[in-house]
Amino acid sequence: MTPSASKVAVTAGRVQPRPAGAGHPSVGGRRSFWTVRRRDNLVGYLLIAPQLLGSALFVLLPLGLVFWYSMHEWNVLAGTFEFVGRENYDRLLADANLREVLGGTALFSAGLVVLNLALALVLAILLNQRLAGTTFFRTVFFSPVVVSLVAWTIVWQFLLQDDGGLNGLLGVAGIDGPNWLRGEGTAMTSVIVVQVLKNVGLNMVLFLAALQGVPGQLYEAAELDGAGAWTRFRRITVPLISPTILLTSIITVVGSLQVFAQIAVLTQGGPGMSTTVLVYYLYQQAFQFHHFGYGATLSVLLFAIVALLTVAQWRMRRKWVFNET
Amino acid sequence: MTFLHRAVFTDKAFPGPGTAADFFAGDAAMTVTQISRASLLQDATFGWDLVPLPSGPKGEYSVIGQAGLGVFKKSPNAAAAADFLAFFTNPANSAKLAAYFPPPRASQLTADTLAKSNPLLKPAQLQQVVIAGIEKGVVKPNHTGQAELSQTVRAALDPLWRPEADVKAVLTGVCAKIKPMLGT
Repeated sequence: MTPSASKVAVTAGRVQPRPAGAGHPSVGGRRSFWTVRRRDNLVGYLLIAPQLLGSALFVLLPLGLVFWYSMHEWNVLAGTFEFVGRENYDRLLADANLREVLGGTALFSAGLVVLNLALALVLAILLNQRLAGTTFFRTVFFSPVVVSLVAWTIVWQFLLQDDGGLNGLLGVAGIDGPNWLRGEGTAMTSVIVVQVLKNVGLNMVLFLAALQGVPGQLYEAAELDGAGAWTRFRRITVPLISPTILLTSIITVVGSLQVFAQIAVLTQGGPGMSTTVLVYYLYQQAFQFHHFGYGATLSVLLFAIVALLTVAQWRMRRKWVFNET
Repeated sequence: MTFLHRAVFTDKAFPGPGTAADFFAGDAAMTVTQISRASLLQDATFGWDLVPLPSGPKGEYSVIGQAGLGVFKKSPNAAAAADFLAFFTNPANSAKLAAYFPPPRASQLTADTLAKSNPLLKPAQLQQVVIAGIEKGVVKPNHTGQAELSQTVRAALDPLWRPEADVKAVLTGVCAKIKPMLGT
């Protein structure tokens, strides 16, 4: 039923008995419970029920359980599950490693988001030109997105090791490359770059779609008015693709906070704790050290950070996203 | 540790951390590993042998291995688990297990048993290195938070893997980091 047809039927249902065979006719002048509106609502709820049930069961319930677990000391090996109240939260505040872990997480997220969005936008602008070979390069930059994450990371691990492919190439140029994944300064940069190269294609495609939606006559008009390339980009391109910039920044920020496999394969959080990001620390606490209660507490912290950042980005959209009021 | 550090960075005798040098591909002169991995040498194009670790200035050395079948005392079904463990390691089942791992029963821990599942190794080699090594070995107590301890040691040792590292200072740092854990 189209929305307009539904509206008409609802209006009719309020004042008149419905025709026989079209639902539940009124009995003895009393209005049937099953008005068209209620019936439509029921159909609507039934249609979203599978999704709602799945979300409730696999998203909301685990989310609630994480809060519950965070107030317990849970040893799966010993089979003990004891209520400890706010003990895990006190431990969180006193955790000497947490400052370094949060610092590493912030550095990874900031590096990834800035590099990913900037590179994706530059690639999208370059590949939006009507030049030969753009389809080929679009495919090249997008293809890592569909490659298995672990396979991609393992190959990069070989390339980045001390006697790996990258240092081999640098050696040809007479440069003695560092031990990328073991150096305090280079490990985090390496992990960020590997992750950016893996996922930049996705944001590139989104930017490309947004760029192609910018009307060409705006550029022509601006050019006639004497606007240079940078002004055209700043005054036309950026405002018109700002909804996509918002979307990609939210996706990338949230994704950056969930990074795990790359760290597990490339550095295991090292050297020292320099690449131990929050999710990897959480994994160590819960699954390596068997502090499941404390792991759940770290999950609550992660949830709070992701929620805060998403709300902040969403609120900020009014300030810089075009056509948002 | 000074010896290790010098071997990696001065003598270049050991591959540095983060470098894959595969003995089985012929990239390294020596490796310390499980005997089952000898099967990877089926098509080796180089000569090789299985030998005990050389003695050092303070006597014989060994590696710490970890393998075991156990029952958690605090588990809700500890008795059932102990029964299962007894079944799993009875003479007949232990013999079957010996096809994959060194068997848990002393009576079956012989060079002949191990030779059956490691055809590339001679019984004499197995006797000299594996059986004698286990006989002389000692069972060490494990820390209840071993995984956390290992991770802390690993992270605190990372500064050692630089050419200019101060070995003594790094090791002092490792001790400081793990001291609170050892106290519990």
